Order: sequence, then C-alpha cells, then structure tokens
Amino acid sequence: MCENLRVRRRRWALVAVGYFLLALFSLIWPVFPAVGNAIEPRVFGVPWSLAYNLLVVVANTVVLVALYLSRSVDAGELDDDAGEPSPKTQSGVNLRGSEAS
Amino acid sequence: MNGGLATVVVFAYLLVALSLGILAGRRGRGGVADFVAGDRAFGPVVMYFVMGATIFSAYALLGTPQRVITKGSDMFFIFAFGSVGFVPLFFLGARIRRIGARLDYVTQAEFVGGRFESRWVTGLMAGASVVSFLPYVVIQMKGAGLVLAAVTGWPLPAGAACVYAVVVAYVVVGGVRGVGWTNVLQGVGMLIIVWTVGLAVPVAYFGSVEGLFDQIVRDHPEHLILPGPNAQTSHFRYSSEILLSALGFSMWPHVFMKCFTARSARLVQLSVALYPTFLLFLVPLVFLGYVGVALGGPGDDTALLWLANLPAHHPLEGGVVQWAGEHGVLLAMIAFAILAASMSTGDALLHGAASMLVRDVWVRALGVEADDARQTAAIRRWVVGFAALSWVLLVLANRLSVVELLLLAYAIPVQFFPLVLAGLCWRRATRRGAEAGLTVGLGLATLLFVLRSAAPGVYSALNPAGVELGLISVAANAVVLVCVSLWTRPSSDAHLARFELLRDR
Repeated sequence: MCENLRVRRRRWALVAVGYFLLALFSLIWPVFPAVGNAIEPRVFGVPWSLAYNLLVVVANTVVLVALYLSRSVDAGELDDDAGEPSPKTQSGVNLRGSEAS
Repeated sequence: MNGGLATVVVFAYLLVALSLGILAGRRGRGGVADFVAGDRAFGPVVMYFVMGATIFSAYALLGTPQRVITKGSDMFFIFAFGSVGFVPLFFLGARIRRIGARLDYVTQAEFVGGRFESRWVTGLMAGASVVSFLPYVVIQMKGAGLVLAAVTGWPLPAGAACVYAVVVAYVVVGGVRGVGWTNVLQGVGMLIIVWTVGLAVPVAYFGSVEGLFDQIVRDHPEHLILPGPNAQTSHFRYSSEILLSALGFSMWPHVFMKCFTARSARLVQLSVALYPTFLLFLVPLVFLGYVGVALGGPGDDTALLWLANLPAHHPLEGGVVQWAGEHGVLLAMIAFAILAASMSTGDALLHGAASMLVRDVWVRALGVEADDARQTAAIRRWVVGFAALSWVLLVLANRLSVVELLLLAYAIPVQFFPLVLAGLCWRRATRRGAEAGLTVGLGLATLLFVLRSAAPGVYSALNPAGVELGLISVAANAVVLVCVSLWTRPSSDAHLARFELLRDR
C-alpha cells in the first residue's frame, strides 16, 4: 500500500473518531438539553426528542458504512501479513503468549 | 385472553427452534473452537442476526413499553447509546479477530488476560462476567415465563423452565452454531412482528402515528421530554446512563466474543456498520409504549402483554386489529416475539458463561490441563448448571424489575473497557496496571452497589448528582490503570508484537 494512501486513510480514521465523539456528546448534557430535548418540530408526526435521536442513529450508520466501503479503518485479514496460524496443544492452550503469573 | 392459537404458536416455535439449533450443530467438526467460535466461519447473515438478536432481548421487548409508560422519553437513551456503543468494535474488531485467530483465543477474558500475561486478569474478568450474566439471564427467563403464564396459565417459573429446557438442549448440542442459526430465525421473526404490531395498533386506535403523538402532546406532554413524568430523570442522570451503556455495550463478553466467530475481519466491521439498523426495530416498541401511556397501560413488565389484549378492554368498531385481538392472533404474535427475544439473548448468555467458566477460569486461571473433548464436555455441563442457577435466582428474585436489573448488570462489563482500549492501543499499559485497575473498578462497583442497597441515604449524600455507579468505578479503574502502568515495567517487544502493538497497519 503506498505511504500517501496509508496516511490519508489514517487521517480519515482519526476524523471518524472525532465524529463519533461529537455524536456521543450531541446526545448528552449539555448539548441534548439545548438542542434535542423538545417536542417541536414534529418530524413525520413524531416529537423532535425522538426524531433527533433517530437522526443521529441514521447519520452514524451512514458514516460507518462509508468507512467500511472506503476501507479507511484497519480491516486486514490474518493472511494479509506474514503471520502463520498458531500451533495448538491438545488442551487448546496456545503455545504463544504465555501468561507469567 | 384467547390463548388457544398462541399456545399452538408458542410450542410450535419451541419445536422449530430446538430442531434448528440441533441441526445447525451437526454441521460442526466438534472441539472447543467449533463449539465456542463456530470455527470462525460465520457468514454475513448469521453475523448480522447474531450481533443484533443477541442484544435485543426480553429487556427490549418488555422493558421498552414499560419504561415509556413510567419514564417517558428517558427510554430514548437506548437509541443514544446504541448509535455509538458498537463503534469501538468497528475500529478494533478486525484486529481482535486477527489476534484471536492467530493466538487461538475464543473468549474475551483469555484475550485480555493474554495481552497482559495475567491469569489474575483472565480469572477476574471471567468471574465478574459470569456474575453480570446472572441478572441478564434471569431477565430473559422472566420474559419467557411471563409469556407462558399469559398463554397457558402456568406459573412463571414453570413456563421459564419449559422454554429454557429447549434453549439448554440446542446450546448443549449445537454450541455457538445452534445459537447463531436460531438467532437468525428469532431475529427475522422479531423484526416482522414488532413492525407489524407496532404500526397496526397505533393506526387502529389513533388513525396514524401522528395521531397518537397528537394525543400524547395534548394529554401527556411530560412523557415526551426530560425530566419526564414526576421529574424522575434529570439531564445528568440521563447522560450518565448513556455514557455507562455506550462504554459497556461492546464490552459484554458474549458480544465481544462474536468477533472471534466471524469468517473474516471485514465481516466484523460490516456487522458493526449494519448493527444500528437493529435499533430501528425499537421504534415500533416505543410507539406501543406511547399507546400504553394514552390508554392507561400498566407500568410494569406486563405492559406488552396488556397491549396484546388491548382489543378486549379498549374495543374497536371492527378492523384487523380488533379481529386479531378477538381471535388470539395478536397475543400469538406478541408471545412469539417475546420468546424469540428472550431465547436469542438467553442462549448466547448461557453459551458465553459456560465457555468463560471453562476456558478462562478452569483452564487459564486455575491452570487445569484439559484436552478439547474434556473442555467441550465441561462447557456443556456448565450450560446446564448455569441455567439451573439462573432459574433458582428467578424463583428467589421474582420481585425485581427487568430494567433496573439490567442497569445494575452494566456496571461490570464496562470495567473491561479501559483494559481493552489500553491493551490494544497503548504499549505502555502493563500487567500490574491492568490488574490494579480492574480490581479497583470491580471492587468499587461492588462497594457502591452494597452501599446503595444497604444505606441509600449515605449513598445519595456521597453521590448527589446520581451518577451511575458503573461510571464512577470505571473512571477510577482507568486512572489506576494509567498511573500504575507508568510506574511498572511493560511487556517485552516480542509479546507486544503478537498483539500488533509494534506494527504499523
């Protein structure tokens, strides 16, 4: 993967993290009481307090799907790198990553 | 209620679920990796429903209308935390899946314990997870028991035992494959029924969804905005519920473990990206809750079943809903949906709890040598044992509310969030830091819970803002993890490399 593409994707991933933090803050105090906690305007008949939450759900879904399609966030498969499958013991305890204690 | 049709539907559904779960298990190769993680081979359809149906439980079906009736728009918190709660798995899930496949991890506790090279972390996480699962399973059993009681007149514990005998059977035989394929059946059924009933009932009684909310705006406007009826939910409390649930959502062990079952890392991300569509399934349940507000429904766990009988105590002049109510169709549909919700979560919890008890506590923490066959047999026995223990708790704790039990249970898995995040993103996070942070977090959560139960006045004085005890505990957890990590030695580069902490992806 060329370095510019990797840097660009990492940048978009960081932007996405920022977006989701903003989305979370928009749903709690102090933003939600100021912007979302109201009956009007009604959206397709439902109160604004409900519509506001659903709009955030839809927006987050769109962003997640866009990130998925653009492959901006790490989605590498096990076989993409040089790693091999881990050897197993009969007890199912893997032979790598021993636990010290 | 006319329970004849509903009785047939309920028992036919139990038979189908049992058959499907058992048949699904026959496709596996056997062994722990197959029983716990389906040989990491789940495709997109199964993953979608496993992620969604696992989470949408009897709590969602029974608790949503109940909470709307008692607390109004406080219930919208489920959309809020659901819209962001899975996002950590989008960013980390692929890596979790890769590392799990590379190092043969199939449970959350062995994954995190492996990262920190600590049996204490593995054992403590697994033990705490099992404790947190108990009220969650009790909730599911209670939902199943309520349905059987409404349909057949059986005592709640007897109905719960009947339904969960079926669940135990297909989990024991089918493992996670049984869980996965029954989740598909249950998820499809829930979606169809909830949308059908959730739109048909408001339209029948109020002309449209808009008409429903016109009446609510006129007669019960306090149910549409915070602080809600009787000012029960301050903005601060609402916000802390959301933060607690958002941080802990993807940390539920049975959810986290699904990263190990996906066929590919990309599929983990796709499942997360599509998950919010499952939130839309709650919208008609909210509408039904407001129907209850408008027509005087009960503010307890029976709200949805009361709605099933609505045409009897609020008769309409003809129409499909009236006909469906008179002929038991409405009850049959709602009974099916509640059972599907209960079983789709209960099976994953039983499977997850048994897997953790064997893999994390017995093998990892206690260091018992056990081959694949012995581990699988032990997991099967623990599925039965855990179900029996939960049923006993159901009998003893029948008075507790569905929703309050779950909010308490959330205080435990949220403690795993700092360890997962630090473990995957911070090379400097150390074993001692993780052990100290987790111990402090879980200890403080337990202490605050006991204080709240035994001395509520003292608890209120110490926490006047009503911040969720899980949030207080996880903050302490994170601070201790960071401080102790900075004072202690990190893992070797070779170990960090196994967890991709020295790689640039």
